[in-house]
Amino acid sequence: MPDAPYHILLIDDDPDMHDVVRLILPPPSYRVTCCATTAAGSSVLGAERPDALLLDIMLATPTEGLEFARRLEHDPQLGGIPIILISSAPLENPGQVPAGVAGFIEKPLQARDLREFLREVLR
Amino acid sequence: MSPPAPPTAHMDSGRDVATRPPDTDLGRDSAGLPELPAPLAPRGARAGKPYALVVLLQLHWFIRLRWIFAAGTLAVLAVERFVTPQAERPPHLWLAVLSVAGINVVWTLLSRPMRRQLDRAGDDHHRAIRAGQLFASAQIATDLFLLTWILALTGGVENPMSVFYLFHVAISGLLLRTWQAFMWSCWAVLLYGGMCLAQALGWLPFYPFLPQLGSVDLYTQGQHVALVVLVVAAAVFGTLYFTDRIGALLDQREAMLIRMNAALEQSRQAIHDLQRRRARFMQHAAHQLKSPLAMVQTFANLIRDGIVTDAAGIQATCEKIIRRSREGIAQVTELLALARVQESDPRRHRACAADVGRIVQEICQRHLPVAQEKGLQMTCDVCDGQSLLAQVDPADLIDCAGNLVENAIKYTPAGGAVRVTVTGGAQAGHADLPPPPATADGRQLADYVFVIVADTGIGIDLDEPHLLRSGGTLPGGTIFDAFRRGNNALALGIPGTGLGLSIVREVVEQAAGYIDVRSCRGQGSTFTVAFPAATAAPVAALNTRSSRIIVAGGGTGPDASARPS
Repeated sequence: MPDAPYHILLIDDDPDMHDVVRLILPPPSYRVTCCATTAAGSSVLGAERPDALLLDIMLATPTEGLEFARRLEHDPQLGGIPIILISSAPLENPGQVPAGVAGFIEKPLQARDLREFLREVLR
Repeated sequence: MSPPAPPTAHMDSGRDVATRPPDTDLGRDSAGLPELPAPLAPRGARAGKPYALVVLLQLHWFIRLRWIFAAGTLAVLAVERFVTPQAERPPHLWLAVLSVAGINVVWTLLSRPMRRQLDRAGDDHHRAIRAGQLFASAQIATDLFLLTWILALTGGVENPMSVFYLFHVAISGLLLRTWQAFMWSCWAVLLYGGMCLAQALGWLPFYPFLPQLGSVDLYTQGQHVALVVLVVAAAVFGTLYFTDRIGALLDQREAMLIRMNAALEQSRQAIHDLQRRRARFMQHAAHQLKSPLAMVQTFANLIRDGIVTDAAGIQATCEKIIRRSREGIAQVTELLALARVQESDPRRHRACAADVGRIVQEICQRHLPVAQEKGLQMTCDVCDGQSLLAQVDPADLIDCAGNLVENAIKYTPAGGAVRVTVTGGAQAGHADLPPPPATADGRQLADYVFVIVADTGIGIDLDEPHLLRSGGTLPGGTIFDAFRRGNNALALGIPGTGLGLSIVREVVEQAAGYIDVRSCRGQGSTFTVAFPAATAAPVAALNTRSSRIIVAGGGTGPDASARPS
């Protein structure tokens, strides 16, 4: 375990997901910041670089999460943050996910999946 | 679809020529959609490419027949010369027949670039058709002249081959415009009559039809010549009349086929669109249903995997499971309601006379506790003194008005007001009622019963003006589309399935009513739905699911029975 907790940013418009992720990734190992919109997520990203980003695909539009991930990929400061996509629908074009995407989890969310993914990503 | 065959193929196989290419082109034209020819347009003025092709293909056929004629005549002359060498033919006859062959070479050479031009014509149908008809006219005029020349050398009025005039007139009647065909008919009669007259008067030399038998000199007998010319002229113009009529009929049929083909293509397109919309709807519905289900499982996993262990946590998680399950069930219920409305026969509404005032009042009463709990002021005004019966299935009216009231309560924050009004269009003091759309079959405001649900809620976002249109026919989404929800509703996290207004629209459209929405963000919304007033004596409502709906029985009482039939 590192000295400082891993900082995880979650962008999901479902407040229940915020609770779930906080429960699955408890302190002291993790520190989870939750946002409901990409706009709020952007301001968090601007203030502090998280260790990983959990991103819901279907936000205000059905693919807003993917577009956000694509924007991050081209951002010189924020590129390289590992992104884990979360969606209740299967990934439509697995070949076209942005480069920064390290994993994809289809809802329902399993604690084991999320933790394993993060372990790999944060190693 | 096969590509157009090269010109040489047309010369080889006559049947292919006559049938395949026009079909090909009909298909190509209708695939482009939908250039409909005006019905009963004059022939030639309606310039469809298939028609132009038919013209040219017939010309190919014409050219081939001319080869057969030239070859046959030369063969007969050669045989005659061999069998009866004593029979003398004028040397010009050979020249005339060879002229037919010679000019046919010119036509053949001309027809190939003509065909290529037609293939390239594209949208320039009119020019291609005019060129084709000019080409046909030139051939017919020349043929008539050559025919007269050959007749003059082979017995003139005594030669029965004058029937060939009819053949040319028939073709021009079928292919050319009426005035062109008439012109060539006159040309034929003029040539034939002139030739016969000239021979009768001795201005032209006469050669017997069958020199072996000698001439009976009929050509010198004026009455006989006049009679023959008269009969030929009558036959020419008679043929012209009939073929022109047949040509017009064929054109009408062709135009009808093209129209039908286009209509078929349109309905195929409509079915395809519908299927696509259905598929999208299904996909959306499935996704919407999956969200609460997935969350239910996610929460259950938390308990199973021992992530939530304390009693309070388990209790809270169970509450969430129940809430998300309820959400899923609400979605299924609304989907079922929408499906029920969509699959029902729209005609059922006409047989109904729902007491709108009473039903809406009941709905308001049912929602009153929720509104009060939320701190809303809710009023329900039902205008008295007027029949508020409408042609709408009461069960559907409950779904429709219930959704509007539910929405108003849902999207109005505490301290706001929801005001429900039921009124007839004839009521005084309702000048601000939305007028019926142009598609309402001339119904007036007074022919409708209105349910107005006004709230002081969050309103519909002005950034989404496209959401405000109530017409179901406009492209782009409207708030009445399934699963469509306003951005501000989403941002405020107000739960909803996005199906409520779909149900409202479906019911109103089926009942031949209309919807009007007025809204301003932050200042509330006013939804007005209008149903056609039930003017006739109320019939016991058919398909009524709800036993709470009582249909007023005034019209079925003594009045109705006392009315003389």
